Amino acid sequence: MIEVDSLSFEYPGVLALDNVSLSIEKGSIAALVGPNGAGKTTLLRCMAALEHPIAGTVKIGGVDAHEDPRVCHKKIGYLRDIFGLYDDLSVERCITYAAASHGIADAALPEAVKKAAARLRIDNHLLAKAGVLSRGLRQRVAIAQAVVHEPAVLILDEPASGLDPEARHTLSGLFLELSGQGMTLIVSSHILTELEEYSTHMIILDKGRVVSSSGVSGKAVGDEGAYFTVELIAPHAALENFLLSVDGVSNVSVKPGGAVFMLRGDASTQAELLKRLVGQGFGVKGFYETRENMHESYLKKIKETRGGA
Amino acid sequence: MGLNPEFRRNIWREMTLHRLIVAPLALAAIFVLVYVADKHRTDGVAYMALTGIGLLGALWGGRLASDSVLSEIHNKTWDSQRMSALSPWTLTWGKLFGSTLFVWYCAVFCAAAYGMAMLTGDFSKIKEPEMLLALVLVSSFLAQAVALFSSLVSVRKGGSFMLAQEKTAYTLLGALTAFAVISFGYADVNWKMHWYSYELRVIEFTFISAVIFSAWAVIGSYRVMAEELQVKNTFFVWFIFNLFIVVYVFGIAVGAMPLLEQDIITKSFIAAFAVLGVIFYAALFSERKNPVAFRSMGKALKAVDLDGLFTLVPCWMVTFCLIAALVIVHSVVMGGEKAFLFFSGLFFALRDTFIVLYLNFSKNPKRADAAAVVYLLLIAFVLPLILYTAGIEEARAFFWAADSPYALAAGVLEAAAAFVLLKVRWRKNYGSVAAPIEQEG
Repeated sequence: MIEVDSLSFEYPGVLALDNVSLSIEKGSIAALVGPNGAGKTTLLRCMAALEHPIAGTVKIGGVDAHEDPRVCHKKIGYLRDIFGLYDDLSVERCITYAAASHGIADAALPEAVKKAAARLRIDNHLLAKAGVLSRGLRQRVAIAQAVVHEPAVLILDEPASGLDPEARHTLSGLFLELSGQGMTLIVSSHILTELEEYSTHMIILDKGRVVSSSGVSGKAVGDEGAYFTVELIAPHAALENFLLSVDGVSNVSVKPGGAVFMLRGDASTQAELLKRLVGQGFGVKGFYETRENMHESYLKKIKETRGGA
Repeated sequence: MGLNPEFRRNIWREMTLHRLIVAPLALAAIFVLVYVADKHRTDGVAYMALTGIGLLGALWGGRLASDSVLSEIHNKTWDSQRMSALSPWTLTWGKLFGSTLFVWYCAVFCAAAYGMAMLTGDFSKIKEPEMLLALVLVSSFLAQAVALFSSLVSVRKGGSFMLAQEKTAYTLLGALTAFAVISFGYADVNWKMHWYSYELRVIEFTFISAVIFSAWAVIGSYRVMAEELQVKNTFFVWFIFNLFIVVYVFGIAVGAMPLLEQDIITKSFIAAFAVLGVIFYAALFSERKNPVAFRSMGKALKAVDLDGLFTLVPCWMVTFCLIAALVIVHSVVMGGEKAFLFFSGLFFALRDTFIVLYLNFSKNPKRADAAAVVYLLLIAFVLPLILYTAGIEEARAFFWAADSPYALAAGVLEAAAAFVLLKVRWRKNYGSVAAPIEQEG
């Protein structure tokens, strides 16, 4: 759905994005993370065709964002980190304006507004002035404005900043719902625990470069492999060699009481391996997919990059 | 097709029921008060109605037109509008007519009061009431269009943003333009002038000019809006505007002089250059001077990418090239008459450009244009004045354009020196793509 190829963006004297390439599949929720000044907002603005890069391309659903920005804008919903609402208009009018300005016909406006309000659970506030709403409700109105035209791609820059835990949780549910309906989301945030709730992919940006682009459970993008852990009742010296001898197993790392390894294949491959481990008398007490903590993964990647730089 | 969403949003915002009821009542009360105070004569009502339209339209309308753009930035809603599917034209007219709709609503009542006063009173003082009303109305629109255009230019330029001050500045710019135009409406109706060989009354010429410049202000707003919405623009419309200015000013200058006047062509050229010069400096200071865009322009030039080049070339550069071309044409046609004056002026303008760019291409170019204004004022006025008061009158040629070889030599040398400084700074700061970020995030 989104293809970024060799993208570079320069502010006078600062190369904010340096040859960034990445790919985001339809229906996924990509978390864009990185330290302050890493270039996250600039990358999002380039994807939203709001900034013009010095090199490279961004394609949204096959449309070049910088050749046909207005076509792209129809496909995208964008919510910037510091956003505003028309405070003197009612919530209903705010969303109606957003819908109409995205080309929804007058006859279809009430239905579109109703649907967006229901999605964001703000139907009870439609007649309230936007200026009197709480931070959380304002955030929801802003997202309703961004999704009212049913965009294929939703770009959100720090959407949960300033929200209380309950509102954040509701937001996570909404993102999963939108993704389930086929929308592709890119969410930039510093709150990794929250991103972990809904993200399918994590893109780490540091110093304007993509450090890592992977599935949140450790899956490489476009790769069918996943990390697994096997736990044994007692240590077994032959475990490493056995695992390495199995087709589809790689990256074996033996730990006290077991091992972590990458396994390519479907559920039946996993079942077959487990059967063989038990059959070989390894004394298996646990066998499960390893979900690497997003926070740990992020820190590890950043450390690796900087250590290697 | 539905109503323009931006226009409709402005209707929601401006045309509240309360305002729609109170405005005509308040205006009616004022007109009755003036009528009674003026001993039941309608002169006062007529003047009050005209003044009302002028003040409401030019001052308040200009402020609202400016606010329709600046408040979007201030309230952080501009990106949403930029991301919408609205076309630049839809957004431009939605803002221009939508934000000022209530002002025009009030103006209708003022115009009605003016009309009633005209029908019932004796108006020997106002010779052409219809023309005066038309002039006030079109001037008000001109003020609004100028305020919108200058606000958009300011947004395009970026940098520090001061809502109240900017809004006041662009409102005043529009209103002063309008009041200057309106002042011609009170001139002697028989005052005539020539534009080339056409004889027109001044009031008619002023009215036609106000209509044309209103159209240019709207076209300008549309162009800047298109740039903001990432729609590619080339310089051709700006070039046509510049050519129009030359033809317009040339016509006034030629028309103002007797046909057998010596130097009629040269004097008309001087008038055209003066106006183009003002446009050049206005563009130079109001456009963004982003070194990254300049580098992209250089790349497009090297690659003979005409599409890229025509999109990236700044307006001031187009105006400068036009002035230079006209100077050369004049020099060839008129056999070098006043050539030193025109060429020295060209080189002094080049020097000024290099100084402005030099300051803008520093590593921290905050308030570079303001600093450039100070430096240029020092060079063009303060320094020559010091030398003049010190009795060295001839030194003027070293700072001002003059029909003297010394002025030309000074212009060339100063432009060359400024260019060398600029080149060194460019190479040092922006000669190549910036290095990747190395500091810790």
